[in-house]
Amino acid sequence: MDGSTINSLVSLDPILRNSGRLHSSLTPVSIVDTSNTLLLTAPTGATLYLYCLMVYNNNASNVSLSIGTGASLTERMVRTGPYITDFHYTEWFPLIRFQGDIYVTSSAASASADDVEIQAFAIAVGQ
Amino acid sequence: MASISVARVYDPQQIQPVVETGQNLGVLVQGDWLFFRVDHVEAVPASRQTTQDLGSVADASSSGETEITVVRAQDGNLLHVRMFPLDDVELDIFHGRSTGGRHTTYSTKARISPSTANLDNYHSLSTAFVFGKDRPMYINAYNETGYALAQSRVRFFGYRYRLDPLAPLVGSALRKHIRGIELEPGEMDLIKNLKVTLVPAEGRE
Repeated sequence: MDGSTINSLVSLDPILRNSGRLHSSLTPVSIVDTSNTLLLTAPTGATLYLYCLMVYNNNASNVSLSIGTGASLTERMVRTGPYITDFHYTEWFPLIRFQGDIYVTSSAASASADDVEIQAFAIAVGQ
Repeated sequence: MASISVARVYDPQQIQPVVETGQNLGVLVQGDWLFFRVDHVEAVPASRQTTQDLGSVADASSSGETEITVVRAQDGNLLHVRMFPLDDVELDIFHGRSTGGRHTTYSTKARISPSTANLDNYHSLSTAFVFGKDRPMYINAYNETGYALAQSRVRFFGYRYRLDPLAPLVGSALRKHIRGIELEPGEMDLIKNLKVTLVPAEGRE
């Protein structure tokens, strides 16, 4: 999957086509443990359609991610990864809908700051 | 004689004001025509503030008829709006709770869904009017997605017209004229230079 697939999907869907707007993290989120971490805040009242993650892993071990909404990751997408150590990934998703802020949980138990960095790219509907 | 035209509010094009400031408007409300001079027209842009969330809707369920408070009109005002859903719901529109069903045929009632915009690019078929504060719009949002939805948002945009009633004698002469009833000579004089645009403000029967 790549950006052109996302483009095709957006053109199929009237909600995204008529009301969607790009919305992404301004800076990467650094994951240092397995706690649930806010990845991307939804604009007030908006739904987020996640289409891309950039993941950089400089941790000693490979990393897998769980991504969803809220503290308990309701509306969770399938676990992604493993992201192999010392690699950078740009991963495309088929516009996964989250009806609020997006959170992430990493399998890296104790990473140094900035060793595991994640940036999320989404389309927001509703602001 | 008065010049009467009918606003083409359902034409497949961008929404436009049916009249400008200073022009006359005929509004069909509960089967009768009321006549006004419009003394102010302003736009109501599509925005977060003109969006109403009908709440969470379980799968194969509906929100229940909910009053649309974001398009309540002040008394003496007419709102001219179009709408579209921001979530994957089907919208069933009412003018007045239950009784004023919109988009009806003999045996069924059409709903507005996100895919309606594929055939109706400007949302023109969703055009509706809200006249004064006692005639609110209600919407029931149906969820046929196969999963629960946390929100069911509807966004509105259009125009607001502030209305100044025409004199009762003028209104009654225009009413007779529209219905093809013969006017008295004095009544002809009253309305001979008037230009009036008619809008189908309510679909109530």
